[in-house]
Amino acid sequence: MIYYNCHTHIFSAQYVPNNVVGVPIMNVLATDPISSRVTKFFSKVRYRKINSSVERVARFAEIGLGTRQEVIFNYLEDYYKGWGDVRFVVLMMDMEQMGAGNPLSNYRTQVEELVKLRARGTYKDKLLPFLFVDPRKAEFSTGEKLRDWVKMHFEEYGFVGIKMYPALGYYPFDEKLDALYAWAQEKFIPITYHCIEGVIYYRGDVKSLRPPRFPNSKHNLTETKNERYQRNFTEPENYFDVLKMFPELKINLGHFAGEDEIKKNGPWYQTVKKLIAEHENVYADVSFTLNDTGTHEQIHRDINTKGIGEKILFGTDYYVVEKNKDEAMLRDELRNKLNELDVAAGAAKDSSFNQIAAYNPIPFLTSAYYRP
Amino acid sequence: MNIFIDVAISMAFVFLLFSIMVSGICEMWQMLKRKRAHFLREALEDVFNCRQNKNYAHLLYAHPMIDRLKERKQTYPQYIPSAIFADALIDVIRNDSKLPRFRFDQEKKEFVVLQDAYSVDSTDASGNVLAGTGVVADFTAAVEELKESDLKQMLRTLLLGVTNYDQLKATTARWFDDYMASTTTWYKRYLTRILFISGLVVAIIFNVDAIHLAKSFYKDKLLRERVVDAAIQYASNEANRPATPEAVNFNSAPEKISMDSAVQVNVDAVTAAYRRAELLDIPIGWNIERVVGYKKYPQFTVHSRWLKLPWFAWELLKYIVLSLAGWLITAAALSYGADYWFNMLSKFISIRTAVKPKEEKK
Ligand SMILES: [Zn+2]
Repeated sequence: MIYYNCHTHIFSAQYVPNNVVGVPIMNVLATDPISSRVTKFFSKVRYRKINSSVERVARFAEIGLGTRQEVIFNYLEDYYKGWGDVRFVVLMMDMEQMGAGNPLSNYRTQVEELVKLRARGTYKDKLLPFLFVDPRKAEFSTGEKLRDWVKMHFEEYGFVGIKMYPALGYYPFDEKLDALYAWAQEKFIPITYHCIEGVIYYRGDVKSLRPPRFPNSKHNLTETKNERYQRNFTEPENYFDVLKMFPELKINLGHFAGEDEIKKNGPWYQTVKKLIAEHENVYADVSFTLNDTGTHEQIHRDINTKGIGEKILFGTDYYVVEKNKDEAMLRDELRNKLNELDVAAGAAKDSSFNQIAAYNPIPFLTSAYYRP
Repeated sequence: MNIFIDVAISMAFVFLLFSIMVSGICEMWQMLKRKRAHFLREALEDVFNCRQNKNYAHLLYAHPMIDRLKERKQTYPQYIPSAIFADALIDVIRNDSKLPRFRFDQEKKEFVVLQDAYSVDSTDASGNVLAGTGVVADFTAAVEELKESDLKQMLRTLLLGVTNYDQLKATTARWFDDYMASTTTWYKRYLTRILFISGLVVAIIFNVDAIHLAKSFYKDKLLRERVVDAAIQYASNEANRPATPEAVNFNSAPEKISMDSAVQVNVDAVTAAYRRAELLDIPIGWNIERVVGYKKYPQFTVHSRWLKLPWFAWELLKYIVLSLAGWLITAAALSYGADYWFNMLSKFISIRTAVKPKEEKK
């Protein structure tokens, strides 16, 4: 059996603009040798559940802010020693257009570093990269240019999916994405979107933003605070408009709307489930959200709900979630809980976990360019 | 005349002891922060992080030839030999538009990686490499494909008059050597700044006010004689000559000393110097008399005893303003380094011995 973690990141701090919360501190913690000695010390005590914020931040800094993507990926592989064949969907991030200034190294550098790293024998089939797409990038003067650029990366550099992060300041139904969607639908290419309210969002002037192409009743365009304006971009209702145009598009709503939404059965969570139930190719992954054990029972119910359970994916959001819990703890807590519930329901051991981590990812990842 | 020489000796001796402390602290700080390695990386970022194209500094550091030079996973190399740098840079640039390509094998369900073969040098009938073929051709083509930028201009310049790989490598290495020489100069300048700042911090923490010290040495004969005796004794022992700190030079590899032992050596030197300064019993350090002088506290009623606090704060402020010049002089003196002050001390002592017999004859 091959396991898939459908949601991980390995981009290092140099690809994140310094204005994004916490990055300067993290940078110091990770690259400054004095602080990194301290962080190393704290990171050794993991599993002892000290649960102090220092320990968590230290761990996050130590892993995520290493200098190279390879080092970060190696840490991830280490967590799965003894698991046999495990493959990781690595989602790239381009934060150059989020209005928080330029990162130290640009996105082109990140792509080149990743492609070169993956070309080395042991990584090519283990590391499954999703190319980040931002329609606002200056070189994409037309949607066709954008599509051709993505296409070239699939045909030449072995990318297997697309990643988007609307909260950085664009709608998933942006006109410039139409040509890309038409092509992706035809080639069954998976697209993962960030679908949770978070701390990384558009920092520029919200008043300068264009009104959405397809406004819906959930948008609040009079909002002036960036922190709340991001909800307009992330709003799951937006995907009804995307799917109206491209009903067969294969999309994954990363984070399943978030742990708070799941626990209170909130509107975003309900919308995501509705999207999944009504469309053949809509998925959701439990990454990040799974760090809250309060969601596990509901996740188990969803996995065992016909029409939805086939389209839930296992993912962790490594290493972003490392500041809450480490990879092994996240994975094992969810797996153990699902097991317990499986056994109580008279199902086979690991049946729920295997479904989201081994079976559901297969149709999700299968495209004209890749077959798991 | 003699009194001035003795004051000079006393001052030089105090500066010597404190600059041993300051240079020890600076050296430890540099080592613990791996300052050298970070400085080198920053110097290369300045040239090779090209926003119009890519951050080649990062790609260079990820290149196995340079990556292997670092001691630990999460650090940068402290020194890059110019030949290695040249090989890595040429490789990174000529591959810029030729990334490895991937094909998915639907049968085997795995990726196949295709790497472009490098162009081979063409030779003429007698086996001489033809100008501008092979690696040079790849490199030139890659440079031409870059978006206009300072870096592109620089790489173009490197190519001037270059016909084969050896020449390209030699020019690149020569450029790197020159650049590292400049980096060394910048590092020295940076170090002087750091020495001054830590000198100022030490001067304030231990309240080493050069003006106040000079005055005390001048006025207090007993103190002066005690310090001069200790200084002569100290300077006569060649073992006390401070070790010259290893000058950072980015054109050569640093000495291989383990960080922990180097830190220990510095900790020992700093504590020894501090003990010696303490034993001299010179007017340094913080105490209430120095701040408020021998002024009487104003008479306050019991009820308003707390009023002493603002009064004291005011006196402290005055004291700080008046001492600032003295601290700055100390900081400037300490930034010259222990080596300098040991030599000055020896010079003053030899002047003293030369002057003394004459005066005795009178
Ligand atoms: Zn994520």
